[in-house]
Amino acid sequence: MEFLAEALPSMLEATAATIWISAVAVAIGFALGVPIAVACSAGRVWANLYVSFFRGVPLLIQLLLAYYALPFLGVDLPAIVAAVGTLSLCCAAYMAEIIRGGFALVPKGGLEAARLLGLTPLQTLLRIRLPISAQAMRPALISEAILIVKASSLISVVGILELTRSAQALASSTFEPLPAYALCGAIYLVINLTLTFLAQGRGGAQRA
Amino acid sequence: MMAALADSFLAAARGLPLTIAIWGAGVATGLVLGFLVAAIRFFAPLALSWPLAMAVEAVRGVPFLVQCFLLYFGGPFIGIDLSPIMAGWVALSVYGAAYFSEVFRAGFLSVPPGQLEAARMLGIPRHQAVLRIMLPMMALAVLPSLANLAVILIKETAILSIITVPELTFRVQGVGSATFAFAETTLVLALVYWALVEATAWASRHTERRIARALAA
Amino acid sequence: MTAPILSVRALERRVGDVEILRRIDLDVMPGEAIGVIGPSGSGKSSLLRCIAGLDAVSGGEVMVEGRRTQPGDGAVGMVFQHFNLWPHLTARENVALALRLVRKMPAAAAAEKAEAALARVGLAALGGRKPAALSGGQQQRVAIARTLAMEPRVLLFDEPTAALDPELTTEVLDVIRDLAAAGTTMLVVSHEMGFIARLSTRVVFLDHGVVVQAAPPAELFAAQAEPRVRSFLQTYLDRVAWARDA
Repeated sequence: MEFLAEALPSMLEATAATIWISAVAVAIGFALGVPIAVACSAGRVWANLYVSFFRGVPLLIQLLLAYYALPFLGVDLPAIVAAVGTLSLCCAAYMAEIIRGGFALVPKGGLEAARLLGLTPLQTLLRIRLPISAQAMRPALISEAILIVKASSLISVVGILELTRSAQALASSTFEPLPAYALCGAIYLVINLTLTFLAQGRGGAQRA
Repeated sequence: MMAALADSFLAAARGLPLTIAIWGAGVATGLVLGFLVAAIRFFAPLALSWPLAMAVEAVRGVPFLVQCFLLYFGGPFIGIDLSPIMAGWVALSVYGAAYFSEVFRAGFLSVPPGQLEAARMLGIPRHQAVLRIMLPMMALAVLPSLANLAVILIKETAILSIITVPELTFRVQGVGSATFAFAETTLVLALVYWALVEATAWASRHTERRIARALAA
Repeated sequence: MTAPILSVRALERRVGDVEILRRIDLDVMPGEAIGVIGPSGSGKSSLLRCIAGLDAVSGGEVMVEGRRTQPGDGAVGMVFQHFNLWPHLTARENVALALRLVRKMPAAAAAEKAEAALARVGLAALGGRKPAALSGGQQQRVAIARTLAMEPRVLLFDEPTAALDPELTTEVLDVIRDLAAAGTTMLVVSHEMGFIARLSTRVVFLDHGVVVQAAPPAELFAAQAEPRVRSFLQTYLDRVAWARDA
């Protein structure tokens, strides 16, 4: 009880950080994922390389690369920007795969109708393809959001204060790693179960 | 700079065997555990399957890094005192098992009940029907997902460096701290993992195709 | 003598070694309704898709009012076998979307025009429904309204009732007949022979990518001078005979 009283304020603050970091990464990831998906479908080599790299290299290594290699190249970003940026770029690679899968489910006829009626490719993408595939992509998007919440724990390694980092600090200051990490894990679980619940709830409402 | 790159590749070569060993061991135990969990959840009564479902949700909902910390730093307080390598193996197995079990469960659910009913009407005992009809039918369906997960687990092994498992990432980072050539060492790490993951993914796709062809013939 | 509104010159389409359309020539006058019939695989749908610009042509050209057409330039409208409505939009939104995005109409004006188009196909009351909440016949009528609203010079119907249950075909065929009566220039691919016979000013019989015969329906259906036309129509007559016996 005493532990909780001491731990909760800092942990809740860190929870907020984890949530906004994840939300930003998912939002940027989706926004970047759309053009990457389009480029992948069009067989662009850079897009396929992008997806292959960000899905092939452990996120931990990507974060270290941004942390060490960017300054080496003369790019000096605040650590939080580098970390959230890397998380977003990585998310975009997974999003591109999800979006590409969703696009494959859009019937060709609907796109032909759009073309005949004179919609531009961009209009067709935004007004027809994305909305039609959104419903089918929703479960995968929620899974990806959960993966990002979990992956955001890795940015503790480059010194960003979020849930995991906060738990580490708590563990070393209280000499009680077990409750510290258990609390940390429980908070992640609550965030992710909430996401799952929201996904199911909204999906159910739409079906009705 | 060239020296740092060369040292990094050497360190990578020294770390790679442990990365592959702990990955292979983790995938193997993860598959066995995952299959058992899925089978119990599918066949056993609710009282048994419900706690397992909760456990799977818990493992899937918590970052792997936090699980490693819990086991490695928290474990000793409840009498689980493991070496880094053992802790890494156990953590990877449990984490893998949770995901594998979901794939196996989906596989069980994908077999139409009519197939088992047909076997039952022919008088084939239930365990025989499961063994000879259900498992072969689901094998082909679950294989790609299992392989995909196994490839993802390669990347998770990098996280084990944080709990000081002397694998690939740990060794190459050691070169970084000794020479301060962090940019070069991290670049080498990225390239090695990229190659490892792409090669494994290619091999699994290749094997899948061969198995599918063999089963179709 | 007025000029043809649509003229197809030496149109060819090959896919690999397969010749799908072989030197098709066709002039369509304003207000004509051309029925296109022929065995399955004869190239009927390809002809329409080439006129619309959806399928690439290997040779020849398609002109509407003397200009080469391109998909989306508004010259040609097409109604598809499978409706191709956009499932996430209501009927009204399906009709209004291109008006807003392509014609740049303000939302209110586009909605009003969409309502008018829906009223024309007898669906004034159902504009707020999504495609999934409409019957197949109603969906196809929305698709017709969607095309009509853009006021194309030529309307193409690609087997518009082939995906419908038989009892739902009439409502769609009635709409097409009304449009033809109002002077809409159209090409209709259909297997509804009775409908084609009554609707068309001329009927084009295609076989293996070639126009075997193009004639007013009375001539083509009654005389059946061409043996391939005769054997094709025989299968339909057989079906009718069966129905009478049953």
